[in-house]
Amino acid sequence: MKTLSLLSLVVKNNLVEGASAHWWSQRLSAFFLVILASWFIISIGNVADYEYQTIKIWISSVLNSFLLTLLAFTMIYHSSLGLEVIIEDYIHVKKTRELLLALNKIFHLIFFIIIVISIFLISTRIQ
Amino acid sequence: MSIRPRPLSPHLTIYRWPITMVLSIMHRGTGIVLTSGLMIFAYWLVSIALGESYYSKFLFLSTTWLGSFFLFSLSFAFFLHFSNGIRHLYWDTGRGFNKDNVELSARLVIISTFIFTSIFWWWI
Repeated sequence: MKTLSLLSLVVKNNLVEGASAHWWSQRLSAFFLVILASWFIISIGNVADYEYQTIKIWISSVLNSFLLTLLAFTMIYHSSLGLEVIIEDYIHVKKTRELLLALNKIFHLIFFIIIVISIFLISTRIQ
Repeated sequence: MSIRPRPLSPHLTIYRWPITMVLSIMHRGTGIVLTSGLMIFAYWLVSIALGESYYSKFLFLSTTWLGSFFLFSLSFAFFLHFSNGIRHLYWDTGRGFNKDNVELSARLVIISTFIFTSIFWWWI
């Protein structure tokens, strides 16, 4: 009986919806980040200097701008999933929690848009 | 459901912190640090997109005392989250859960964080 009421509490408050999808998204993004972040550090560490032209040329290459966008997407996705868990863990007032969860998504989306536009501008504009 | 406060069991302040607990807390802490680090990553790209004078400003800021302190802390947080993240992925395969193993991997994470951070700043 006790288990049942606990279960109904969980279902009523939608606590399990998407939980396993969240778990998998977190691990998958983590796995890809191990690869993408390693690529980024090794590749950006290998450029000759940090002059404007050097960095611009590095980002402008098709492969680099593609991987950089992929890195940004995976990083931002992973970050929003992580912050989601933290908000769910510590914010116990339902209204506040839902507000913060929404803000979390919006802020991460804005970051992604800003980064994609920047990479696009850098790799298409000829100076 | 009653909302009457329940009695609490002895909590954080009572125990000597085991290394595994320190790392668990730091994984979350560095995760938050890295989320704010996204701002530096975005600023870097935006400054390049805006043009050379903005990028020079970014480069200048990153060489100030405070700027390099932020970047260094960010790199340390990254390598800790990276190493401990690999430890978590290893755990997710269902392995490495006995006490000795968990403490050994915790030590490895801390050692590799210092090694990665040193190599990175020596090499870059």
